[in-house]
Parts: sequence; C-alpha cells; structure tokens
Amino acid sequence: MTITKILIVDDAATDRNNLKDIVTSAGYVASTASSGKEGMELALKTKPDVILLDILMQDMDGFELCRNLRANEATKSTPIIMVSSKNQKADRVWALEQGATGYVPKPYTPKDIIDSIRRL
Amino acid sequence: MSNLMKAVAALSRSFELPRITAVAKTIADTRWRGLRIGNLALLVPHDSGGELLEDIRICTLPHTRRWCRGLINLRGRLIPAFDLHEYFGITRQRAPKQWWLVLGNGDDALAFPIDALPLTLTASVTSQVQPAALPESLRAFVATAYRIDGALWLQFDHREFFRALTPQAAA
Repeated sequence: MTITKILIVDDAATDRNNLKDIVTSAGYVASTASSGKEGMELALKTKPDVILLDILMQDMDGFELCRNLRANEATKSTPIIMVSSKNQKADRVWALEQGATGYVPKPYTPKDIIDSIRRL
Repeated sequence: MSNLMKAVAALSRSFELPRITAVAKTIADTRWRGLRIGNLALLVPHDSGGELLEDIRICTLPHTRRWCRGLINLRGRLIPAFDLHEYFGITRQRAPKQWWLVLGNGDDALAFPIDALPLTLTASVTSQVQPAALPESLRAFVATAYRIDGALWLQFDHREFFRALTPQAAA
C-alpha cells in the first residue's frame, strides 16, 4: 500500500513531536492530535493512510479511540499502530483485539516506528 | 385486448427480485467476545469496551463479601474488582497468568479475573442451542447459547448482571 499521510494521536507533546520528527524525516506527511476526541475528528477530516495511536490518554484512551475508528465506515480499514508504554502481553493482545494493526512498545527507536509503517 | 402483452414479451421481461438485505442482516453472523471464567464460556458483545490487565493491584474494602476483592485504580478511575469464580462457586482453571478484564465503560465498568485471553468469536442463529442447566445466579442473565467449534458459549447480559451484583457487595 502507498502511505503518504500519517496521523499521530498522543496527549504528550514530547512524544507527539518526536513521532512527528521521525515520520517526516522518513518522507511522510504528518498531522497531530493531542486527544482522542481530536484524533477522531482529524481522522475523519484528513483521511490518513496510517494512524499512530497512544493508549494512555486522558479524555479517551487509545483502546476506545481504536474501537471508535473501527466502528466508523470512513476509518474502519485505516491501519492503526499502537505506540505505548504499556508493554505487557495483555496490552498487546487487547490492542489487536480492539482492531489495531500493529503495536510498538515504548521506548522505541526511529527504526521501530518506520519499520512498523513499512510492514503494512 | 390490445392492452395485453403478448405471451413471449411478458415472459421475456426482466423481473425485479425481492430485496432480501434486511432478512440477510438478521441472520448474518454476529461477532462476540468470548470469555472463560472457570468452566463457564461467556459471550458478550464485541464492542463492550474495557481493557485487559495483568499484575493488577487491588485495594481491599472492609465489610464486603468474599467475592468483592476491592477496587482497582485504572488511571484514576476506581473500578470494582469482583471475583466471579468465587461468586459462582466455580474452580479457577490453571492458567499461565492471572488476567483481569475490565468490562464496560464509565460507572458501569467492572473488573473480574478470566482464565484465558479473550477470543473474538462469530455466532450465527444456526448455531443457537438451548443452554443446559445453569447456576441459579447466572440463569437470569443468559439469553441463549451457541455451539461454536464444538464448545457451548452462553450469551451473557453483563450489564444487567453487573447492575444486580454491585448492590450485593456489602457484607
């Protein structure tokens, strides 16, 4: 698949900017959202090719946003890569159960992120 | 008579077949989340929300029933943790880990231990069967049962069950 636009959803500004730097350095076009609600709105508006999604967010956690994205006709097939500090087996299993396509645990390297996108 | 079509013309017309989409939808396969609690295999709606946890810390509460293990703090949300094995009087199965499932959203959420990782299952009306004898405490919350891959899965109304269970927690 051809991937151009990537949406990053993370409520931590440092992580958000770090991920943005990584994907733009690799040639992708990044947009960012700082909450689950904003992430849903941007996903519908910008129709990204891939979504990088944090789990631990204040208003709507990544699992819930993932479920909402999968339940929406416009985003149900968009690949979602969870990027999270939750790195137990249960977290990975649950993320995939909620409809995530991939899972990258924190701390990650730029290669981890880019590889997970290129694998799609 | 001149308004009547010739037999050959009438038979060569294209007929619009009745739309069967609605019927097809009702018998379409339904996705469920399959949970195992001891020897009970329960189905809840796939979009029931929640989160899977391991190695949780439970804050115990005094003057509560044995099956009320206490509260867990899930990123600032306090969620009741009920041991449903204890409540139903069933044996815990040997599992490599102790998983806890938080099921439901907001104030309706409740955590309980499960014996295997949740499964995504598909059930159709063709696999529907009558549930066998059930524990009294479960009977009112099981609408029907499905046989999926040889195993009997009970369709479980977890929301009503949680509503009925919570007031009983005080000893």
